[in-house]
Amino acid sequence: MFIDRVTVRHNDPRQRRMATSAAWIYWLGIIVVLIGTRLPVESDFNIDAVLLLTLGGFLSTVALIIIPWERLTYKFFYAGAALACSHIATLIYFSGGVQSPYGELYILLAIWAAYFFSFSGYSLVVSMCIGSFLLPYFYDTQYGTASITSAIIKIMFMLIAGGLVNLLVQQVRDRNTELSRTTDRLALKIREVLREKEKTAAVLASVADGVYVVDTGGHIALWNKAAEAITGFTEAEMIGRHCFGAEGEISEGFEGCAPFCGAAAHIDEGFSSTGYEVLTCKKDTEKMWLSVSAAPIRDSDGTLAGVVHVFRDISEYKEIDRMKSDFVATVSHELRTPLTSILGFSKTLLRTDASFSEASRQSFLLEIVREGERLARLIEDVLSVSRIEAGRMRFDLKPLDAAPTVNQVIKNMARLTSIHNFVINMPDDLPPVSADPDKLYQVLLNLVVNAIKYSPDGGPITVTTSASDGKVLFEVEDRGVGISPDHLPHVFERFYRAARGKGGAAGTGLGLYVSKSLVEQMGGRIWAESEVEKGSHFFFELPIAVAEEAAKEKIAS
Amino acid sequence: MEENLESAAARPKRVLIVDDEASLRTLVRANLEVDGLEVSEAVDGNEAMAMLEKSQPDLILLDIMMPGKDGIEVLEDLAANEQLREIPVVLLTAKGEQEDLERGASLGARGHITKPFDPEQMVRTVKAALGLMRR
Repeated sequence: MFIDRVTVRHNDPRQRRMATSAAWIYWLGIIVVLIGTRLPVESDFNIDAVLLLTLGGFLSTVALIIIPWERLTYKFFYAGAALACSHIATLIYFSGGVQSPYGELYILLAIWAAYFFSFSGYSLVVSMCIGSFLLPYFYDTQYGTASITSAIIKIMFMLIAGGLVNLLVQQVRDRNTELSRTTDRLALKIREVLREKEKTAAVLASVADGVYVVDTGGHIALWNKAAEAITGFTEAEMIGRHCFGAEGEISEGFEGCAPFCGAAAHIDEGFSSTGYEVLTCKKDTEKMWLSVSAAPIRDSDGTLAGVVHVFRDISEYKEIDRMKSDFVATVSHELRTPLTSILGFSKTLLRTDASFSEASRQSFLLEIVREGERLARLIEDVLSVSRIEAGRMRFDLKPLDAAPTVNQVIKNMARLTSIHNFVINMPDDLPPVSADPDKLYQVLLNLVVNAIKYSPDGGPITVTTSASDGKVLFEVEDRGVGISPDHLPHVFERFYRAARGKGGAAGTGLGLYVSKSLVEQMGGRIWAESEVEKGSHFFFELPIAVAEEAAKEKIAS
Repeated sequence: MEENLESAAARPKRVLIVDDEASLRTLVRANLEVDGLEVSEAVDGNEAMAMLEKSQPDLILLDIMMPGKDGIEVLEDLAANEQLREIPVVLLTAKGEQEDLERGASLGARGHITKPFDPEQMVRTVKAALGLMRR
């Protein structure tokens, strides 16, 4: 606390000037005294002694001046002052001003009194100077110097002079105290501002949105953590980077990427925007969509200082958006295709201008059934998706013998294809699974339909069931076109469709997504293995129904 | 050339149906064959172009939305091919593919059939395009 105040005061240039002046006044005072008292003419004047003692005062003065002010503690200060005072005393003594044993004592008394009245060091020094300077003009140095009265008068002189100086100093000090308080307040304010800045920085660092500021020159002035994370460009790389050349070209290093500091080109009065979307890329040149909002930053006087941009990566939304519109297009195409066949074959059967053989008519009817079922499946899938998404899919889980369901699926599908042969590997003692019969049917159907769809050249489609570790494993395997390793991890994603294979197998990208959701919600899991041109192998497992439930089911039935 | 036409008239007209949907190809085939036309099938643009290299039909019924090489690309290939340029093409489109139709027309398609279609109407359109019947 004290150190603080000393430091602050010592660092105050006004204070420093004051003390320095005091020291000079003191030194000048000595010279004036030397001349003013006409010392050289005094009989018992010893010039060597005076010079020696004056040297002490001189050195203390020099010390006061040259010791760096902030390192000058009060100890040094008073030591210097005491030295200076003893010098004055000796000077006066030699000049005949004080020729008494009280000479030194009254100086000490004067120091104590000054201290008592809280004179500061330099005002004491000044009071000594002025006191000893004035003394010769008011007092006969030859007589009466030995008396206590004369000593008291001298002290009075010094104290009055010192008091006056102190008054002056006090005023300066008051102002300085005020100044120091202001400084303190200012320091506090600065700390507050810094804290505020830190807070702002913390907020900027923690927001998930990228934030950057482009100054009026088109240079990036701020680049937050999220901006780094989103774009891959670090703050160090971006600060000061010019977004555009004069012609609005993208600056180097962006590798032809559209600019995410795009608004820099549009810096003008009142520029702002909300959520404009821009295709750009990351540092690793991966393309991404950004949604950018921009707003001008103005100084307090209203001049444009820059533009702040807030952006977020909307690639995922864009992708979902794209998939959704793809989905709508696909679904309408997928709905129309079976409908075209159903209507077409129906109308063909109704043609009056042509007659078809009985075999043809049967095949047309089969086409109608096939396409009608396709339409029904599609509608079921679409409805399932909306129910899954809304969390409204109901499951009626019960112990279920999977065999009839498997057989039903194969039976229904076998009617619709003549080029595939179905192989069923199902043990007789397959334990009951815990499943919703309709959902299990839907999953199996989807997998078998896919197997048919993606093996346009026919071949065997094998459905295998087995039990182990409390699970029943279902497998559907085809010898079709297979799925490339690029596509395989995504086949269960919503709207995802592998490139359509030979034979134009097309889909809505819903079947496997729906299957996955259904299996998982029945407590199982689903996965796939595949090799291009070799075929695909889909697996899913469901928990075996617990014994009591199975027993209950048996009794009930 | 005249001889060609005469001999062409003598044998049944041949139609190539290009569509990725087996059921639709069957539908078209059934209806055209009952009217005495010869029908060959291709599942997509690539297969169609391969078939056209070998023999040229009198008419191509071309679906626009197909995987692999789509109908528009086939039209472009046909337009660029001296030999195949003259084969009349009727587009098979779904409703709402107006842009594709315009593009198809600019590439020389003779007409179009919108799915779902009436088989009788389809047969009439095909015959008209083959010059077997007045529209």
